[in-house]
Amino acid sequence: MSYMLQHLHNGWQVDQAILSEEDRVVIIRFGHDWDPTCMVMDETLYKCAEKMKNFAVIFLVDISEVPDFNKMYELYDPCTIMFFYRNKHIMIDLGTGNNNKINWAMEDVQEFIDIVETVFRGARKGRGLVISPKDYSTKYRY
Amino acid sequence: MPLPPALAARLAKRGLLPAGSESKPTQATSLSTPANEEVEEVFAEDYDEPMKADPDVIEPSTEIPREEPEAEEEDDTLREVPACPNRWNPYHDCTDYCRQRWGIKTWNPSDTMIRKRDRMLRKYPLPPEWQEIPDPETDRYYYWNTQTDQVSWLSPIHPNAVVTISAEKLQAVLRNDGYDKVESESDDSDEEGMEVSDSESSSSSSSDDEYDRRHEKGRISRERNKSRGGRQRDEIDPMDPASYSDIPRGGWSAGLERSGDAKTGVDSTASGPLFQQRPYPSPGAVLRANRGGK
Repeated sequence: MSYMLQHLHNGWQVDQAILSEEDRVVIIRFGHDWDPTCMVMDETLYKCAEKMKNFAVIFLVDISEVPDFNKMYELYDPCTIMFFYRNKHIMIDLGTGNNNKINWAMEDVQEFIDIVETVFRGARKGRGLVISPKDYSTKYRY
Repeated sequence: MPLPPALAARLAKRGLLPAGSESKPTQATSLSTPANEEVEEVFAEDYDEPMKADPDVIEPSTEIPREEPEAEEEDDTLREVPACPNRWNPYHDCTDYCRQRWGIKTWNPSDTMIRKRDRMLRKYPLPPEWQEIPDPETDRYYYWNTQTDQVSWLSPIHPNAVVTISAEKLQAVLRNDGYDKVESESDDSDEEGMEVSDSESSSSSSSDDEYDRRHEKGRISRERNKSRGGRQRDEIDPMDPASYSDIPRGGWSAGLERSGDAKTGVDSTASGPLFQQRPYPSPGAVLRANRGGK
């Protein structure tokens, strides 16, 4: 489903996409379109894109095409979701220990929409760190 | 209560001290300066010929008539050396003024030196192409290979003999080679010279073997210096991580944080509960940092 979502092809485009968005959360998926994990994630993203178009916008970035952020954002997972609001990185306490990003593929659309909504509400209030509605630590998964 | 000599000298200079006590401190100061000069002279002297004996040992020599006819013959090989005290300064070139002011140094070998030299030559006679040359600078003999133009302070077949090219030539080569090389060379020989002179001043016995032993000591100390210096350059400090792991050996700045070369965008110094609250910089800042790093 990656062909239905907008791609960004260089660092400048990523920067401008985040800068130009005034009052919506920018969701960026870093990964490869051919990666199975990313394919799952892109499916979820496409499904929820229409539903959260009022408060979120989704972009895809190929980390091989745009390697500028790999080092600084520690992008070594097959699929990474990061949230930005008004040129500011928004962290989510997912219970996984890594508050910076979602680095697994989410299959549940509603779960993802809930997370993005929490991010949006927190970021609007000026928070840099929001708490995810669901705890994704391993003790609940297994 | 006796005044310290420095204070006494100062007071005498200002006329605050009576003339009777004045003479003593001034004498002391006047004595101290030549002593200092002498010490400096020794250091600088060893720049040229590290193997040479201390002039303090030889200088108070009595003028003796030379018994050996061969020494008399070699008088024409004697170099004319001005008795300029700056001769041991490697950056000083003697001019005509030095010659006029200080005169020509006289060759006055001490009898102990002659005796030891005779003994050494009896044990280790000179090979045919070697010639004995008196050195007025040190009041000693050195040995010169007329074919290869090498010199030695000992007979070349002596086990402790160091056969090298002459210090003058070495100096000329080093001077052409570059300033820093000369510096390092002078450092080495300074250190070594100090050790040699130390050993000599401590051993005031006039045994015949002292002549040889002194040279042996000088050589050993130089070799030790050499090996010590080499180790400093090559061997790794056991506490250096490079000595027990496979990381490369770094210089002074290895491992320091450089701007734009960050491993990660987050604050890497944060730890504990702060660790999970480190936001990444915005993409614009990342791009700027990347550009700045290159």
